[in-house]
Amino acid sequence: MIPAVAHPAPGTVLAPLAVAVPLAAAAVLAGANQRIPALWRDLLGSAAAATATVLAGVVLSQAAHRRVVYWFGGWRPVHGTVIGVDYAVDPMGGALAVLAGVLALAALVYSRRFFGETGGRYPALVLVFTAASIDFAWTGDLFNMFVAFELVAVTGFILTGFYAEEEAPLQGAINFAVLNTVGGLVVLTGVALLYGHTGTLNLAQMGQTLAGHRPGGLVVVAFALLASGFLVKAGSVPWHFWLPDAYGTAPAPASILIAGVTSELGLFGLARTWETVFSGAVAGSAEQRIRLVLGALGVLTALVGTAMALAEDHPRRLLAFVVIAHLGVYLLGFSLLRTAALGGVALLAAGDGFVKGALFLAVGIIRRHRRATGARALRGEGPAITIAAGVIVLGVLCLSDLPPFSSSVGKDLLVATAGSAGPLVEAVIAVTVVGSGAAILASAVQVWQGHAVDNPSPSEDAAETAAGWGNVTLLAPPVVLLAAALGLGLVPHLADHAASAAASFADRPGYHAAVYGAARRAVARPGTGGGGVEPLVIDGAEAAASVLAAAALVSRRRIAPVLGRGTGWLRDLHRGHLGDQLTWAVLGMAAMAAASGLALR
Amino acid sequence: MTVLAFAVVVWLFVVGLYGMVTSRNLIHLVVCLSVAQSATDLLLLEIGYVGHGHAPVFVDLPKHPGPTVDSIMQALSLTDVVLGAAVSALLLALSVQVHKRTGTLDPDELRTVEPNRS
Repeated sequence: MIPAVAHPAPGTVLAPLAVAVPLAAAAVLAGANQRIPALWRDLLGSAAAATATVLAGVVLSQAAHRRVVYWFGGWRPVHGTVIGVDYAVDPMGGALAVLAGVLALAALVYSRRFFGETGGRYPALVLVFTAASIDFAWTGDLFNMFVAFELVAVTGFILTGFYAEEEAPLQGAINFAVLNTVGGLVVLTGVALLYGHTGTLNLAQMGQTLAGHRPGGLVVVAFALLASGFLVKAGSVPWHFWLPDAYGTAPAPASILIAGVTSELGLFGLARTWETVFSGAVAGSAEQRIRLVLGALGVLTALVGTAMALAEDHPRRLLAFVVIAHLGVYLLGFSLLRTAALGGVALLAAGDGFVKGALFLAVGIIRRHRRATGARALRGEGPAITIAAGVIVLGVLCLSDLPPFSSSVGKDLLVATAGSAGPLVEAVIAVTVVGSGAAILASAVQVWQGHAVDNPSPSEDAAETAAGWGNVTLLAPPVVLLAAALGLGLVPHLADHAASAAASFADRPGYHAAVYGAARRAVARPGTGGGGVEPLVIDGAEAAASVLAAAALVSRRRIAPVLGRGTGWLRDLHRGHLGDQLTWAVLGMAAMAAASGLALR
Repeated sequence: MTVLAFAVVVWLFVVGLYGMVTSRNLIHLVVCLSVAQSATDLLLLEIGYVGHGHAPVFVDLPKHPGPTVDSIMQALSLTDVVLGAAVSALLLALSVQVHKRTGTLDPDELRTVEPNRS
């Protein structure tokens, strides 16, 4: 065993810096808020976010060769016992950190014009959110994961509630806060039970202690608690009710952080704890059964999200349901518990994260313009509006997993490696993509023609319109995010990189060896199977189907009421009643505990 | 003794959740959330408890101090208390905003997130 040494390995110090820089900048911004001119405040915030993103990118490139392990204060494990807290960064966690950094940077640049002088402490909050997200993705300590989880949630609900765009009664922020806090309590209970059972908080040591033993009742309960807690944040059915309410209240720059980062973090937390802590204790047959549980949850989430997106006519709530539907697809992909499929999910999530960000920002531009002018129709309202509309249309095509966008590579990888579940995955993705694409397109056309239900009345405080060319800081972020999704899709051998990143993520003995400073184990790189012409045809057909379905939705007004009646009971469930939402959450947790008990024992 | 402590943990959590589900007042709801949160604090302390252990303060110890209780769990519950305070403060601040804007504290009357359907 390696004795404790005070000096970290060269290069690994960058990992904590990526968290420390945005936190320090946030402290300066929050403390000296009144004394810094607005321009400098925005510049400092953007510079800190950009620094964190670059640092995360450097750490990611290091992690692609070898896990980056950093022990805080040099407290390395001694004789197999871990006392210190570590960062153990693998390519998957590194990529998630870069995604969080890029989206935070986009939110900060965009908010300069979006909020004007009223931004206040907004940049500081976005920076804390970013630091907490990176911390969550990198930490090797379960309690640290919980703290980061709570920090992301708390900053998320301040961003939702205190910068609310309209005089809504803040219901979205309250539902968001209460449900996520209950989710956090459940996670903490799971953490405490696992600590009581294993005597450690370190993920690697925990996994080592549990490996090879049949999981007892305590471990099963701990898994159910952690899984449902993380899925509250991810927004899986039946814990998803807070999402549409939060999006209905949150300003656009906060929405892209919740949509592109928070959901992914929830799923990442589930995947991380499963792969490093629980997977060693689960035998083959139990794994089959847990696959069924998580897969069923994923399919249900995808279908509920798609149905609600089609039935919803408030543009931002609609996007929230699209986010939920996509999360269902990711959960289904993860439930296969195959490493290459996990790589596909990661690519899908990254590509969709950029695109969803671009969509929310574009919708924000249009909404802001309509708030300023009260215009009924948007046709011919200036170049900025046209660009925003173009981003929305292109974004829908990306969400349809059309090549060359990165989500198409991810989807092909996922379907190709799904094995016998391939047709099911393909079918669920097709339903989700066609349904949600049609819903967004139909809503966009209605707004364009001036028929949308949420036509705002012109307000006096939003005096300037967003229609002209002078809105570079508003227009650049959505366009750049869309370009990022495209650029990522053009990286050569992207599928192979994703598959090997996932293999390293799921390599529990390798994770353990890296944390304990032992020699690196070689990880077998799974073959990915090249996508032929067939996926291209299917993708094209799906995109065409969404356009056709959208046309049908718009041209035949009669479809909408029928759809409305058919989903009336489902819509009634989504009325934003806090007591009902909590009841569903508790029922879901009980069901998760029962299902895990049946599956894992 | 241990069984009693775990029973209290479950009881506090269930009572807190029940209060939140049935709450008609946001202030009441925040207090119920704190009750549910104290269940997790108690669970942490209970897991770290060692029979006849003394507090994990390692100065001025007697010659044969005997066991101490688990200091990690105490640190965790302290962190949880801080997080709980932050969440309560923010929720209460939101409640003040809600009352300013709508004149009510009943969560059931906050329905304007759902847009008026034409």
